[in-house]
Amino acid sequence: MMWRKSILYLIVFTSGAVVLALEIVAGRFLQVKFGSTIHVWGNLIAVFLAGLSLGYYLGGHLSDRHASFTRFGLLLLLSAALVGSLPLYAFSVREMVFQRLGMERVETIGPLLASLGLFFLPTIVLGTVSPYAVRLVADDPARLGRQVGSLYAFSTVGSIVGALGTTFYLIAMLDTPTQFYLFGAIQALLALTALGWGILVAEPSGARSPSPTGER
Amino acid sequence: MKVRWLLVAAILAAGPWAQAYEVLFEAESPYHHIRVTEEEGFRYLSFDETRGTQSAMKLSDPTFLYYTYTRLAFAGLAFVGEPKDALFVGLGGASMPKFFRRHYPEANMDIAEIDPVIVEVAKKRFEFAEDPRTRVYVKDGRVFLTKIDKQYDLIVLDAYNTSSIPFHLTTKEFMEEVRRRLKPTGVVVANIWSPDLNQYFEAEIKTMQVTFPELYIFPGLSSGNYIFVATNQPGQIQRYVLVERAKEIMREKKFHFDLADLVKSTYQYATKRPCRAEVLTDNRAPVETMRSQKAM
Repeated sequence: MMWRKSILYLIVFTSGAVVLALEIVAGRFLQVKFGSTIHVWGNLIAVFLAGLSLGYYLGGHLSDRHASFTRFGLLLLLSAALVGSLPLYAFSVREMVFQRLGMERVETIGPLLASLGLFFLPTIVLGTVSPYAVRLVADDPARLGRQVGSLYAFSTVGSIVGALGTTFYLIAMLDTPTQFYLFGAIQALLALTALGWGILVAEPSGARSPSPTGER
Repeated sequence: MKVRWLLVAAILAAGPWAQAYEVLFEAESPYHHIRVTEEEGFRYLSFDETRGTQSAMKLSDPTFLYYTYTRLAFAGLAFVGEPKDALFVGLGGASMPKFFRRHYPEANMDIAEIDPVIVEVAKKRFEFAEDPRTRVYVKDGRVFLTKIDKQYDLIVLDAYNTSSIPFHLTTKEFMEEVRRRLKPTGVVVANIWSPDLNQYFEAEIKTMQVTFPELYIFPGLSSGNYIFVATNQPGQIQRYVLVERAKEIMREKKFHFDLADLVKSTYQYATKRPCRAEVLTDNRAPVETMRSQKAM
């Protein structure tokens, strides 16, 4: 079904964009307080990668239990809430971490603590998107490899768009809180799309999971 | 035919020796590609691939200020008088700190430099040294400023020179922190490099206009550097007053250049200068983009 697959590709592409966009905005956000040292980027990238890995793992597990568009939509909604709510507490967390650390450690440990406190959870949930989509798209074991590959390729191309779009446009056009709200809104739209499909098409849960021998 | 090839070979072989300058040191730090070269009695510090140099030192006189803008930066002294506590954000080749140390031996000088390799290079190649009253902190300038519990008579911001400006050192919130670290009669001197007048330049002016009661701009003319001086106290100080003070300082300290003349020829009172730009804030300071936009 073309629509079904297209929605999954769209979701994966857009989430991929949001991950990178969020990372770049997060870097600038941390730089304000913790400086333009290499520690900001090093820690941020490490936290994002850790979050994504954990997300991949959890997303895979969750999708094996019960793969459905509705649940996918709920996961996406969670990511929307985590990212979109950042402006409500990110500034105070950043300030608190900065205040609590002395000059000796604020540059090295500050970015790590702030990144963990603010961006670890959102990236975990964002990381569940791709493996969950894989489970939903897979309908033919003979073509599993290329389906997974295509999804991940789309996700990564989305990341490119997110990175370049943020650097060349978003940073100049919007302020930081608006950027976080925007990313949350985008994830929410993806969530509504998945939820809509899940409810309207009313797929029975786990219906599309292929049996090991390829029989339906 | 053979002669022509021999000639070409000879020219190519002579290439390395045909260069008038010598590369003394080259290294990759986490922040810059650093190069130290020497040519005709001067030692230069350059960053990255750009041909422009960050700093120049006269070998026969390490405290000699070569670039006009470094001399102009000391116009700040005419506002402050005898500074007891000074802060330099950004070390570079240490031209200004060395000059300052020579003429103000009793003053306390803190320097915040983010790149430890720059500090090493300044000490090993540019005759810079710490002493009981000179202390270098390998820290980001804003982190240092917000964490240190000190007030200064003079704060020199010289971290804007490189091709990429750290945006968090350009914003209203940062300037407010700077103001908080100034003594009541203190001033901040910022070296803003702007070879073409762009939207960032205008925005920086606007940002400092809203944070400080008074702003003065001293253009460095040929180099594209502009020295911004902002005071903690309201009340315009007239050109002739500054020139007189500069003359006194020159006489007393015996500077190698004419500070009074520089002040006289470049003084611009910028507190009320019309500015069609938005204030730079921590949440929105797209300085890189603004730099490529023409000033409105």
